[in-house]
Amino acid sequence: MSKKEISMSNSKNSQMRTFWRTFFSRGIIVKISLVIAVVFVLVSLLASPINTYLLHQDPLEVDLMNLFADSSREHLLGTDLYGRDILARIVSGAQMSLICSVFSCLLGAVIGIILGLIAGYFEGVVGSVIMRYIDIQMSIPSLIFIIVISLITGESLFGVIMALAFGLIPNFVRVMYGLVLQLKGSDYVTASKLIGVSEAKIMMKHILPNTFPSMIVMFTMSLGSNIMLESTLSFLSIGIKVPTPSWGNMISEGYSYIIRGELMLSFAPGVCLMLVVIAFNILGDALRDSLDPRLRGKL
Amino acid sequence: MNKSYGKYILKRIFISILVIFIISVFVFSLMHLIPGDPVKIMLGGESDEAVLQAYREKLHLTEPLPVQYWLWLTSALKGDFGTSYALNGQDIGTLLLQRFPVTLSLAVPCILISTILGVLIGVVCAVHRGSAADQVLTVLLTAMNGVPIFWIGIVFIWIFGLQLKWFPVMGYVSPSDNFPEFLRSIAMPVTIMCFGPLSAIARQTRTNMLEVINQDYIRTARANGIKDSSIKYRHALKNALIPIATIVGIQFRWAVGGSLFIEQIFAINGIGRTVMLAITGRDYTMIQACTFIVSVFVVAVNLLLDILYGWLDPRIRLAGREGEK
Repeated sequence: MSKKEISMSNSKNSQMRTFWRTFFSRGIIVKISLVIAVVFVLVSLLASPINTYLLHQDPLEVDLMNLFADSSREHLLGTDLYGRDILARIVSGAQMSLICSVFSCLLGAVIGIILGLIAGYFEGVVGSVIMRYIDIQMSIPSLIFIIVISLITGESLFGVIMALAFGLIPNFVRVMYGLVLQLKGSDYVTASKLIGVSEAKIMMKHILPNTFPSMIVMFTMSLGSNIMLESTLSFLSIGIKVPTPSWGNMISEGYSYIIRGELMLSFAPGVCLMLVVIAFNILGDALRDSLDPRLRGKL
Repeated sequence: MNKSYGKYILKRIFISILVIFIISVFVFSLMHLIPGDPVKIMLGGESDEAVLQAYREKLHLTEPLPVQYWLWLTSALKGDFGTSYALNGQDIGTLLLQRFPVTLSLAVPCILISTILGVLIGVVCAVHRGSAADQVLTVLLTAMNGVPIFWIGIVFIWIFGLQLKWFPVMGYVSPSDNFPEFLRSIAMPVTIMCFGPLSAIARQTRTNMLEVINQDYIRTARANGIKDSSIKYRHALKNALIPIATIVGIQFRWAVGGSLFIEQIFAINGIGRTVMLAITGRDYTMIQACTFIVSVFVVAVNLLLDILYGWLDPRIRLAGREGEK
């Protein structure tokens, strides 16, 4: 290894160290959040093997002889109003949340980043058309907007993903637009223009990569908020339809039974939902502090 | 100075009217993108084709879209939104007039409380930056921002309604009927609605405050020997508060949207519950009317805040004038 390479790898190492130090600077709470997020992702990915081999339960199996059962060896969290195993439904529901959230965030982020990049780089007519559209979408309360979109796209998993993605676009466009405007004025972009680098190359190679830290932060935060929105939609019975388990429709099915003292039905998925959403938010905050402190207060 | 402010206000009003017009087109087109024949849904699937056709003509659904839009807009501006079939042919205009104040009686206290408490918490966090209180509050605020509101509603109903029996579990009492009961009935919904706005406003205040404290004029004030508390609360806070006006506007939009499930959980007949009823009953005219009214309202609130913003911060209205040159 040459001297230069050694010093470069050293500075990379120290960069990583600073990254992790800032990331965990909020103490134990970030570590707990990281654990929750990892467990959530693993459980979602392995949902069906967990249900078949570990819990030996089918989340859709109705057992009318065993309604509202208490927690037992067979049903760790008891059973619901149709005698279905609550834990197995939570595991499948986690998968549903992850699918909706990841795909809608990817779609929303890609569209938002492209629109924001175009609006910021070219400004002018194209830019103001895009930004005015964003203003208009932002004047309709987002939940109403998302619901209308999900009616248009049909009330299915696909519809929910499309609706959530659409709801996300303005957030990405606005932050991206601001970043691109800022980057466009920087010296190295002016310099590249002067030496005749093409517009497309400046956009893709010089501006886009520099927005990635902020976009990763936004993406993490959106994962949390879209998990919540998906369950909100399912709770309002517009999203994932019963009997397919989703945390939102489980809470909705169970909440009229809290008067009878059957708390597990809505409290168990509710606690999971709350923990996961808060975990993603705290991770997003921590990521922002270590990746892009300039965004503090903007996100 | 006054002239430029007048010009600024006129410009804002003009832009708002334009936005409202575009929203009306947007809302109208969205409704027509929803698949399914509204008349068939209204009359049930087994109706006679001739009856269906008669209904379509009665509702102008056979006209070309621009004509339909024009008919809708002109009657909407007169306050005539048609009748709702999900609610047995009630007049949508009068219905909205009854139900919108209910939502406002939740949203306005929510925004007031969130703004006052949020600014207070934000200032405390910024002034005692890095202290234990700041750290705990920041984590708490992050949590509040993320926590699913409908679920917290259910937990609150269980704790304060069913276990402690402090507040009614659901329902709404009009303030003109019985004011103390009104306060009791909105206590839980408003508290829960505050979660998001409070957290956003507090975090924004904290950031602004920290930014302002680092600026030159604060350093100069400090160098001149002005008392620390006077610097923080008189000089810094005043400037830190200005951008809060914008975020309050955004939160208002959130609060009106949040009423959708808050009203659903607490069985309050406001605009949110009406929208939900319209959606589950596929009452397109009503969804259209509600979305339009709510959006117009949000635009109007933002217009007022923009005017306030310009009054608070001369830089804004002067920048507007320079932009016109």
